[in-house]
Amino acid sequence: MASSDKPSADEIRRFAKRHGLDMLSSEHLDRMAELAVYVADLGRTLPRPPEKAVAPYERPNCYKRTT
Amino acid sequence: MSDGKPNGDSQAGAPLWSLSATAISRLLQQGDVEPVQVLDAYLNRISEVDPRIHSFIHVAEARARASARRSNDALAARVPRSLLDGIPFAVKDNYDVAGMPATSGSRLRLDHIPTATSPLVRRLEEAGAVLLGKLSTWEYGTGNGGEYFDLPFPPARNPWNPERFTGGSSTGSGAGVAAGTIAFALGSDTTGSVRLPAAACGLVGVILPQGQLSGEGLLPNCYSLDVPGPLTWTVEDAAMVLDVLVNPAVSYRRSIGRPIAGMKIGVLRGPLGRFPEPDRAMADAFEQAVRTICGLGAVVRDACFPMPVSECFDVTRLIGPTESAAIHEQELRERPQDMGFALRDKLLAGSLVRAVDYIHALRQRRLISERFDGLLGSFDAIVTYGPLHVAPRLGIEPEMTAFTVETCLTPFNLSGYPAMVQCTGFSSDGLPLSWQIVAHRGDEASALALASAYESATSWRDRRPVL
Repeated sequence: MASSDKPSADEIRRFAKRHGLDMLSSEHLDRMAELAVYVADLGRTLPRPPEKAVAPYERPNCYKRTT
Repeated sequence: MSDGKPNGDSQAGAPLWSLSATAISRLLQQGDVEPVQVLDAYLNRISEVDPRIHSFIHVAEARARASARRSNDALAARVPRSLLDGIPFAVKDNYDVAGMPATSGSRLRLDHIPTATSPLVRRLEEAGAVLLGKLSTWEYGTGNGGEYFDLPFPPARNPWNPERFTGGSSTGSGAGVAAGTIAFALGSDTTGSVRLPAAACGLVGVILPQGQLSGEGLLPNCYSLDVPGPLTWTVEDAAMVLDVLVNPAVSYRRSIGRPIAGMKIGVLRGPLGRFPEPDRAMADAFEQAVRTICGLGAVVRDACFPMPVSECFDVTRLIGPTESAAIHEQELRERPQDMGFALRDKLLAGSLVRAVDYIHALRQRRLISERFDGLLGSFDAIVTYGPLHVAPRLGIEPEMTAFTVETCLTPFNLSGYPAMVQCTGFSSDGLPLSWQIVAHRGDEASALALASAYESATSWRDRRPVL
């Protein structure tokens, strides 16, 4: 499967702005553009369960409040 | 301060810091040594070696002295609150303790002073254990394996070789227990952060299924995967600590010394997927450990992971960053420049994950869990690798990342099984080797029994790092 294209500087800047990430420097945004490729590839290549009935995993987590 | 030598002759000549928590407990309960002497031994050890290994972020000496005096009183009156009464411990700096700085290793929280104490810390203190302070951690208890030397505290160093990595993210917990700057420690584990430092530093590191130990008062990293856990020198130490932590009470200590003859043990070596084969020393030690438990009467049978281990890791690569990005969204929006590279990178990645892919990852997790249920159904416990590599060189990013990523640890975070690592020997250059033991949910005692039997049959606990 072909790797995703790296977003342009303008695309990633608009994405960050849409999501409230206004304080990122140009260096951060450049890194985010690189990560966008990695994350998209990871999501796209993750195996899908064979049946729609496979629901997300759920078990108790450790953050149940006791006080 | 004392010279750290016990008054009694049961451990003649051995400095207190070098003993297991269990051995110190025995001396305390017999009146052969007093809690204040024990505390002094650890404070001396911290002064002596911590400038080289950086296990502690914060030493709370005055608080610990007050606590040790209460232990003195309890033990002198022969009313110990537990076997931990008078034993110093410390916690990774992502645990809250009222009035004590909780930086989580981050510039973002240098001024953070919690007003409440984590229930786990509270339970230990109520049992008489002496909280000595906070231990080093990767920023916010997370990271990508690399070390970028961009955090407000120096990275902890591996006591077996200070040029080597401790394993993360409970870096100070691993360094401290191995070096004897603390008797036992609490860490937290999302995809290996208790077991990696325990393995790299030659310790016992245990995680229980999610929900069994409270994470309240712990800075969350990933809601659905985080688990607190102890790092100790011996298996019995771990059992003694868990006996206090788990509520309702369970006696894990009863599993110590239990015969393992007839236990059905699955031996898992793969498939590892795209991960490389383990280091030769790690693999050789693993095979020797299998032979050892065979010799003790365990019935071992080869088995396979129900899916390649690297595929399990990929599921965590979607779940972990996504949840972290949600948890720490405000910091990423307002102070990204104050984060270290590793945390910022993770949060940026998590901000990019599609909700659809996150849901698919959770669905994959269900399948992984169900497949492990099937696998464990045939065995009392399984043994497999922990990390595939020995502790890497600190600051050599490709080596460090490989050490952190290429492990057999994540399948058990995903499937929610109790898992532990322990030392299986040392490489030719003196670095700890390890394996991982996994038991049924609710039957952690079987893992502890197997680990205890192995530990008793080997001499690895006779060796301490030379610093």
